[in-house]
Amino acid sequence: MKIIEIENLSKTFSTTFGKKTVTALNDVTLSVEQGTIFGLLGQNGAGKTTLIKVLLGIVYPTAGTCKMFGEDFTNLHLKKRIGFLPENHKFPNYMTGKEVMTFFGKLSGLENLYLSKRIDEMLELVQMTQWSKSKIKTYSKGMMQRLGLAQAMLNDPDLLFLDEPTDGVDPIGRKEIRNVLLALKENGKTIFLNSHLLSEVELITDRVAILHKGKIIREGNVHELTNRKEEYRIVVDAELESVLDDSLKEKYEMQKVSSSTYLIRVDEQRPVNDFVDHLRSKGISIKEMAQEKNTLEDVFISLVKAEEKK
Amino acid sequence: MRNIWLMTVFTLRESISKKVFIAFSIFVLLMLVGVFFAANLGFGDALKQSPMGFDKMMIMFKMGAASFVLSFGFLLSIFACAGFIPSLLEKGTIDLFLSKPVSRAQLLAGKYFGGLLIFFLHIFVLISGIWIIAGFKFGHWDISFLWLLLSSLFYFAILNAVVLLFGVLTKSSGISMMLAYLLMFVSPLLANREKIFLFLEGKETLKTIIDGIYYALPKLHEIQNIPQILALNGGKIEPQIVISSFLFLLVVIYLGFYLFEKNDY
Repeated sequence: MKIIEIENLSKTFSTTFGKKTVTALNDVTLSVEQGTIFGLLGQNGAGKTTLIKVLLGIVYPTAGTCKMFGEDFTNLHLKKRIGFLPENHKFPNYMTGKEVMTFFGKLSGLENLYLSKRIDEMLELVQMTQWSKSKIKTYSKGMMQRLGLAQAMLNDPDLLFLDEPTDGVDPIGRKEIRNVLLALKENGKTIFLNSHLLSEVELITDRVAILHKGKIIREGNVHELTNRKEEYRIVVDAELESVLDDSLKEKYEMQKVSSSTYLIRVDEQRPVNDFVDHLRSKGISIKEMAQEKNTLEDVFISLVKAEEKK
Repeated sequence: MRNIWLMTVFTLRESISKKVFIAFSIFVLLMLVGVFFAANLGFGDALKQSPMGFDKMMIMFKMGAASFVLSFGFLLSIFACAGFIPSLLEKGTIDLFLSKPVSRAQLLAGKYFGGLLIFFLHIFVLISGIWIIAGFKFGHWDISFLWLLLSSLFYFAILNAVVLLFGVLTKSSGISMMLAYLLMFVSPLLANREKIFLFLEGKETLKTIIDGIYYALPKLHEIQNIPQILALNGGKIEPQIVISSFLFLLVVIYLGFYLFEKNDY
């Protein structure tokens, strides 16, 4: 089931008196399946936050349609099923963590008895229980993020929007947040994640979309995007240059990485199986073989650079 | 209603945190202490012997004391409330509020009523305090004095609406505050425009413009005098004062809500 369906969404901001316009989103079409973690990637100013804000009714679209849970996104009651952690969120600094949770919980329509229990659970989950009675003004950035996440999950949302959730959080805290998100996914929750920490996105997302100057330039699952289908890393017990036939060396592009490690380029005309069969026929033992992978960061940078050149 | 109430209480809390609420409370209490001491100066006998009559003199004493304190109270209240809308509209705050199942109108209404509640709590203590002091000290329990509660609330509701509109429009507490103060200071001048016209002989266009401004703007000066008129002059108030001011209030609030509803944040 599709939880989010966006079609031809555009947003243009006009400055005062409409003299200048900035296109933040340009004909964006994408969908997010239930129970998945979707990552929206992009440089600063690519339009990631604007897209979330449109879905939450904080910013109005110029064109296009959006549906959440199969309903028009403007329906206010949908927000009862949504949690949101904004980037650089500000809680009233004169309140304590628990008071903030109580206030936003009530604003989400939660009843007192359930709310009280839920607050304790969420603070425990993000390991903020011991700070719950401290004023927000004493919190560090990481603590603010944890509290923000707890606040976003307070109403047990089916769809969670997180804008840079690990910003300012230490490595251990990041891992804990990743684990929380994966546990939510296990429970069938859908997570829409904005982040520029690509290594983290790569670890937890099922699908990603890359947004560049308001346009989606690539969308797919992380595996599809990062696999380099045409290249294999192979570790053998021999020097291939001296063992392989010249015809085979000409057919397959080989790059020596170390004394026993090679990168082999393959394609439809040069299948990897033929190469492996040939090695075996020569009695060469294959110690290790793996498809070469790009990092999400490599993919992102190459795609953005390619777009810039256009 | 629940969401509006939540926002109203939230606004009250915000005000207390900024200490202006406490400063306002201390000011009101000090003024009440001042009125108490003034009432003990022994001028009760003098009031009783006045040719205007004790009742009238007593009303004037109470109105005078309350109006003096209220004029500072309005300034302080605007100062206390001018930041409510800009603080709501701050990046990172408005996103949180708008992501909740609460309409924009409810958010803004809560902020507006929060301002009114802060003002009302103070003037209630102030006016009922003066009324009680005068009642016990001089045995003067004139109910009409309590009209001051309503008229002051109406007066502040208009100023608070201006603060709301310009808060939404400019996101600046300074500009909102200045415009509300401007309205307060212009109102007595416009109310006494006949005196200004004496210096504008032959400048009919200018007079018409000033007249137009007078009728377009709320009649704050006159509203402030309503309780005195009711208590002393037997209740003759020009309906246009209330009607035009109320219309101004509605238009300004509508514009504020409309802009808040339409804006991107």
